[in-house]
Amino acid sequence: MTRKTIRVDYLARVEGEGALHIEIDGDQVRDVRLEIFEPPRFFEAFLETRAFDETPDIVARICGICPVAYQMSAVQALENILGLRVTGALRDLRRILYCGEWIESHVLHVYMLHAPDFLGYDGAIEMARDHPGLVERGLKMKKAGNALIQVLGGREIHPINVRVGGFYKAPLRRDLAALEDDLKWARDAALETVRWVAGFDFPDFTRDYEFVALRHPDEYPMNEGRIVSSAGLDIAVSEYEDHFEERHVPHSTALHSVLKARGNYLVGPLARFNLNHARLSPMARDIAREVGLRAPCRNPFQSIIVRAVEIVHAFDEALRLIDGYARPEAPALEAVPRAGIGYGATEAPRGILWHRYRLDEGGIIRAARIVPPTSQNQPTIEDDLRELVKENIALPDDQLQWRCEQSIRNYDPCISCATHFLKLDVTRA
Amino acid sequence: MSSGVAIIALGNRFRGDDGVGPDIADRLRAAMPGVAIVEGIEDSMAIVNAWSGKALALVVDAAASGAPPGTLHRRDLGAAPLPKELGRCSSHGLGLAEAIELARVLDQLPERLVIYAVEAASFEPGAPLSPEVAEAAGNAATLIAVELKNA
Repeated sequence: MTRKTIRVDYLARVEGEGALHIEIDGDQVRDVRLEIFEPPRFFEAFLETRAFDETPDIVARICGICPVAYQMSAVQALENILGLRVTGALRDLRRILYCGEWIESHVLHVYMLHAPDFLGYDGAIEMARDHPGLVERGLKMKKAGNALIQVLGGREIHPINVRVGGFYKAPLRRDLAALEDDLKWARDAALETVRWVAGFDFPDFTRDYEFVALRHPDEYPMNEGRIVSSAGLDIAVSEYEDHFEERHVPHSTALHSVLKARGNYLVGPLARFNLNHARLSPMARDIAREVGLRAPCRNPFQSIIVRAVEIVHAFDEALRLIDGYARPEAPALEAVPRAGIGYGATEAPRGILWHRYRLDEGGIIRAARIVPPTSQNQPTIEDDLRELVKENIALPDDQLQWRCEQSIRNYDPCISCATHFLKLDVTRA
Repeated sequence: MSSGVAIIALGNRFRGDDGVGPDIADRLRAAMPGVAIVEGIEDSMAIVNAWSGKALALVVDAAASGAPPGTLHRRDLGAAPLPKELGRCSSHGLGLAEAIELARVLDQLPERLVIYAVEAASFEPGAPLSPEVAEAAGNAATLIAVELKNA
């Protein structure tokens, strides 16, 4: 019997800092640990004693890739306390802003981080040497998503225009209409992207996940909904803590989330698609059908197809909302502080992002809790790796390591968010 | 035809001297009202999109090369390929170096790319700029303003 360790000290093409440690004893997998060693960031503690209306600008700093998600979950929770219901054009603007973030985040992951795995390149630069036209297409699509965030958020990164109750300034109709030609080009490019990634060779690997996502009566989930699962969970956002808990594990500065009743679960594009595919825009539904993507899709490697379909949906949805946009009379509802506890959950590009705040009567934050998607998926990523190593135990270490790293990238883990990078280490004993 | 200038400030304001890029951006905004500066981006695609088609791109960032804190590095890359020492010049070596290489492969480098990087003393979360880094930031802003006037 041979014992061996595979260790990757620096995982490439993931957002943040982490490592992977795998121990193998003969044909048994003894241990799999996705180690997250980014220092904890204490954002929840920073928020305590700050005024409620500072929250969108503070939480946007948690992540350079998905700042809008943090802002959207935060304002929803705070508006829940203040008794505000943002509807009409203001709600549409928030949704357009969120579409911009999905596009930026998904295009970066599909083109720069994930596609090179399937085409056998070390990275996007090597891929760009052989396929410059493809990478140029990705760059242009991402630029179209950036433009949405620029117009609505005031700038491309860490938007500064979001406030509790709405926005500081609502864009003119012509500012959004000026983006339409580029968005239509990008929507066509997104359809081509789905056809491209659907043609990749996918490992024959499926798992029986419990999928968890938001569900809205008639929208593909983004801004709001109930929390539902493939095992029948159907709860209000405020009931999250009754059903889910976060546990500390020694090898990670990110907490692991589990369902109290059933353990590990999966959030993100696969979960959203499997639970909500009927609510995709007709164009996104059609392209999914054309390439043979059907729910339930249980192969995590095929999440790249789902992301590409969600890019189509996001461009399509942004165009639909821009087409119907009329500038609201006021850019925000008036926000008057009051005491209470509020809950918010939205679908960040990587899955459910849950927030809870407690305000005092002056609108000062007395407690905050933030549960990001990567910490919810981390135990499931480890389960995937355990199964994958078991099924591929005869592979030489370098190939096994490649497959494991690829498997982690299926999740587009945002480790910066979860701690609030990656080393891989396989031990064969 | 390439035209215009892109100024790109890299770094995190809340990580001590890593905030020197945004600090230089603030100084430029004060000295040159209305100047457009792209700030806060870190991914290589966004960097390429920010400078693609421009005649000149100026990137300001913190450096961790081992030089004395406050040392001001200036690299004028022209259209030349990525110099090997670049990774040691920018504290965001990966994103910036990858962006330069990607842009080179796709023929999307600006006509001229100039990087100003200030050697950092500390990346302590929440710390202000070190005095020598703040002084170098002032010098960098002055030099960049002159460079922009002559561009």
